[in-house]
Amino acid sequence: MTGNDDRRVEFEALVRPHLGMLYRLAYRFTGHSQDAEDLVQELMVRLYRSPRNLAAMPTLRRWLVRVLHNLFVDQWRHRLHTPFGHLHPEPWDGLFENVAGVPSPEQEAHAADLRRQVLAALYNLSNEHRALLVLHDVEGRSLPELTDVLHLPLGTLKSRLFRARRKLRTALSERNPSARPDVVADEVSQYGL
Amino acid sequence: MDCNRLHTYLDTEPLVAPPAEVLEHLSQCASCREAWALAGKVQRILRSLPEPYVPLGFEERVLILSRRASEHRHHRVARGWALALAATLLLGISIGIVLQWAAAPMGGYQLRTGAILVPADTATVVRIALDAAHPLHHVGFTVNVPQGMQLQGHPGEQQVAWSGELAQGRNVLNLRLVARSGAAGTLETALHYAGQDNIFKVQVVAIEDESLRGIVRRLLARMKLV
Ligand SMILES: [Zn+2]
Repeated sequence: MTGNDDRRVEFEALVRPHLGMLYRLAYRFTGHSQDAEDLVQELMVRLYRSPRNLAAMPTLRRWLVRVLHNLFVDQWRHRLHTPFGHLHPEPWDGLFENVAGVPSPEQEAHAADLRRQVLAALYNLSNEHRALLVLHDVEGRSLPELTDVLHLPLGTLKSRLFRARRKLRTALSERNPSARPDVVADEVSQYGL
Repeated sequence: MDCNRLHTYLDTEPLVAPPAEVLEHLSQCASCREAWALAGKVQRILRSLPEPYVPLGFEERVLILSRRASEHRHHRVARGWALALAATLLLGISIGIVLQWAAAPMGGYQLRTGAILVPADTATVVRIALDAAHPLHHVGFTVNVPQGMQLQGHPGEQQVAWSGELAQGRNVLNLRLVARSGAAGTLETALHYAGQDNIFKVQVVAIEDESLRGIVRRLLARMKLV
C-alpha cells in the first residue's frame, strides 16, 4: 500500500461516519435526493483533490457542515429537477415518498396542503435563505451556535433569518389571503387570549 | 406595538411566550392574529419535518464515485443514474431506475418502459419518479410483480394496490424488489386517475451477484473509471 493509499484510507475512515448527516442536510438544502447525492459527492471530490489534515480537526463534524453549507450557498446552481416541495421520506408504508396516504378528512387535507405550500415556498427561496431556515427553523440550531458553525457574525445571521422568514411568510400569505377565523381563534387561545 | 413591529417580532422571535404588548396587539388586530396563526403553523411544520432517509449504500457509493471523479481531473464529476447504478451494483447493494414522467396536465394513456438487471436474492429499490404538474387526489396505484419476484413487506402477493395522492412536483415511488436468481419479467406500475391509466413497465432480470459484478466492471471500464 502506498502512502497515497494510506492517506485515502484514513480520509475515508474519518469522513464516513459523517456522510449520512451530510446527506440529510444536503437533502434538506436541495429538496431532492439526487441533488443531495450530487452535492455531497461534489464536496467529497473537492476533499479528495485537496486533502486537509482532517485528523487534526477537533470539530470535524461542524467543519463539514460549514463547507457543505458554503458549497451549497456559494456555488450550487440547480438543476434539471424541479424541487420536490417535500421532504417526506416514506409515510405510506414504506412505498411512497410523497403521498399523504389514504384519503384523509378535510382538516387533515388542509394541514397537508399548508405543509406542501410551506415546502414549495421554502424551495423557492434563495439557497442562502433556505440554508439558514433549514439549519435554524428545521433543525433547531440556535443563532449563537450557527455563528460558530458557519463562522458568520451574529448580526449577519439575524438579518438573514429575518429576510428569509419574511419572504417565506409573504409567499404563504399570498396563497392564504384568509385564514379561517375559527382557526385563528384556536391558535391564539393557546396564548391566553 | 403596531402592526409593523408585530410583523418584525414574528420574523425574528420564537413565538412561544410572547410579551404582554404582543398579546395586547393580537387581541385587538384581526389581521395580525391571522399572520400570527400562520407563522405559528409554519414554524411547527418546519420543526416537525421528518428526517430524510439516507439511501442504502449511500456512503460507499459517494466515496467510490467521488474518489474516481477526483482521480480523473479532466472528467466532469460523474453524475447520473447509469453510473450510480453501476457503482451500487458493483457493491452488491441496490438501487434502481428512474422513469421520469411529466404529467402536464395528466391525460390520455401513457406508457414508459425501461429495463434493469438486479442482483438475485437481494432487495433492490426500483425507484419510479413521477413529476406531477399539480396535486392529484384519489390516485389509484397498482403494482404487478412478475413471477419469482416479490415486494419486500408483501410476500406472496403478485399484485399490490392502494390509493393515495400525488403532490405537485416530484414524487418517488420506492419499490423494494426481491427476485430469485434467474427470474425475469415485467414489473408493472399502473396509476389510475380520473378515468385515465398511466402504466410504467420495467423489464427486470435477476442474475447472480457474481455475473452482475462482471458486467458492471466492464461497464465502468468502458466509462474509463477503473
Ligand atoms: Zn396588527
